[in-house]
Amino acid sequence: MQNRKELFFKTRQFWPIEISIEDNVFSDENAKNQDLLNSIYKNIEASIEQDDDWLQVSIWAFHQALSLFIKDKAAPIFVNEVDYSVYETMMFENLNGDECWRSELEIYNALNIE
Amino acid sequence: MYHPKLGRFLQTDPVGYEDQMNLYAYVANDPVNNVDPSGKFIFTAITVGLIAYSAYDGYQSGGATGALAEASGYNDAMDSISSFQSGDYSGAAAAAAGIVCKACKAGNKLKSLKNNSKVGDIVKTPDNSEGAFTKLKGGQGFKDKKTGTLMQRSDTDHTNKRADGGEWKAGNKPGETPTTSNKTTITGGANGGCVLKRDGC
Repeated sequence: MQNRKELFFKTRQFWPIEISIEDNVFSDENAKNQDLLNSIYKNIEASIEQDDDWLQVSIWAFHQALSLFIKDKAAPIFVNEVDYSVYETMMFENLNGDECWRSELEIYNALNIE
Repeated sequence: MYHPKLGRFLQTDPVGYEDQMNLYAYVANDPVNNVDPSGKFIFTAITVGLIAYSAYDGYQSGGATGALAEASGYNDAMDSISSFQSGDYSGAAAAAAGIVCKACKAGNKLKSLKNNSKVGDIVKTPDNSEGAFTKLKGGQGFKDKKTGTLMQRSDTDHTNKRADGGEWKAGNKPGETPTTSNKTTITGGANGGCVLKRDGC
């Protein structure tokens, strides 16, 4: 991994380019849309090697950023519109969330954004 | 473009990883294709049916607490069997699970999972609040940022086809990893998870 955005772009490739949602608007009231997002995440997570720590945490961070991005968003949802800065905030939250991530946090901190 | 009906991201065994990271799944999470050659299935299934009926009977007679206790027994029974997902018994399973969820949704407010959460409480789960959880290293699950509760996803589905997001296993105390004998079982879903049962507390 050369820089942070490299991981971001690699992670994004796991997600569909476009997500179809019911009622054309994503809202917390629509459980089916949330289930759809969760099922996409779960399938991606399961397709990644469990010991690939970087991708595992990055996929989760992207899922979190995507969930924030699509709130009250009208369809279609284009995944490449997810803001990198939100994703990065989530990455830092996760890496700071548990002491087991300490070495990864140090590496991530030392990387340039791009 | 993703569409659920096209199943673009469906994997042959999306829960395979769960098999490795927790002990709650059974028959490699494939009860449809796996069978129980030991013959215990029939006995256990009948037991489950009887427990499910007891739960239903308890619920019908107005004993919500009793019904929950019975339904917890039903879940224990379901945990102990290896193959149960077809025929007349699925109706009993759905009935018992329906009782649990009905009782859980009786006016309870959505709150964070805590040490004193009780069976029937509706609590937040990763399914409806991704921002509330950080990912743990090494496939150890997730940590609730506020309570420190460690959680793992479980694909043991006592209702066969639950529409509200499957199940999660949480440690009974903050920072405690869920184990077979010490865990809180919660349903997932956009409307919050229902505490189905608690073991070891």
